[in-house]
Amino acid sequence: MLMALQAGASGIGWTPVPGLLGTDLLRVRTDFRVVPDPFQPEREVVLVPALAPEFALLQGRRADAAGNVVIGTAFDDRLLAQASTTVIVCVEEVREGAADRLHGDEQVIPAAYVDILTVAPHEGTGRATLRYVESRDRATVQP
Amino acid sequence: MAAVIARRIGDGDRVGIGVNSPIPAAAALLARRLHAPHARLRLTGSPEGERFLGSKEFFDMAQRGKIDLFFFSGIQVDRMGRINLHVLGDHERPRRRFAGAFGSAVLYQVIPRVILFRTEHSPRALVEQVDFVSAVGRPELLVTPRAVLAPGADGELELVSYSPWESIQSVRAATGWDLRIRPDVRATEPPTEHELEVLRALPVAG
Repeated sequence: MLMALQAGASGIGWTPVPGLLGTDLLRVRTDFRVVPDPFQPEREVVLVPALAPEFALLQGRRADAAGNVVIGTAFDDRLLAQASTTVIVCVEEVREGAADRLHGDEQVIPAAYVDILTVAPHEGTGRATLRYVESRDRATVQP
Repeated sequence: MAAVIARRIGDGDRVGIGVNSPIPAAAALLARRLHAPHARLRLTGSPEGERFLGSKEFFDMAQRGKIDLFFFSGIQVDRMGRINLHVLGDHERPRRRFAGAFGSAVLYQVIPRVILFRTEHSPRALVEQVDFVSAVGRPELLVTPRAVLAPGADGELELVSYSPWESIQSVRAATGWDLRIRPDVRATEPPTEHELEVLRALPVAG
């Protein structure tokens, strides 16, 4: 699926994927194809259609006014944003310089990928942002 | 099971550990404390794991041969080491549906060494033929609470060793196919006191 998203992100209609041979996935996924490897015709290779979602809905941590979003690294969200037609991101806060400094588990989704940015403090109680919200709230509460 | 798996982890091995693999995770942490201090762990949520790459980059790395060892389990594991992570019964009308393959269909064929683990060793879990082939490859071992199995020359899993409280007969009875026995079959080396101490002292995931 990740390689299919990468193909979508690159504007390619399909991609070869290693492995998969001999599995029942090839039986139930009639949109997958097994073809001879054009460079090593004695080997088979599986082709899968690209994934290019119409919408990506992402929960980010913070963003700057330009729409550069800081988001966790756990879910390949940047790849999803690259592959999708319309990207909607909800963040905890918008402030100047928000994307200038990153913590260890953060990455930036550049504004170029972001179509709609929404702000909803404390919405991010899912896994992607929970610890960030908790630690920021602790920092706010403590003198 | 963790001690058996830990003994297969070499110093410097690049070990990938899935998000739902607590026994291999314990094994990897145990190995690092004993004979493999330089094992490199792709283990999320642990300070001993290397910095997380994201799933996409992990797969890219594995596909380039940069992960040496990985672990899978399955609802069913069959005599050829195929695993089922999808459905019980017919795919179109399943009796039970499970979470899916999570990339195992790729990783099983691109990572050189795969150890299977299954916490239930029974005829319904270790079957002649899985209901659905989610992933297929050549495992190094299958580790269960009752026994350790490994593929013979033709790929069929054979009994290598049985836990001290089991016998060849009891393991055969708990296995869903006519299990072949290695000529040098023996009892599994139980965990040492030291291995147990280290395992019990491992940090709990936070």
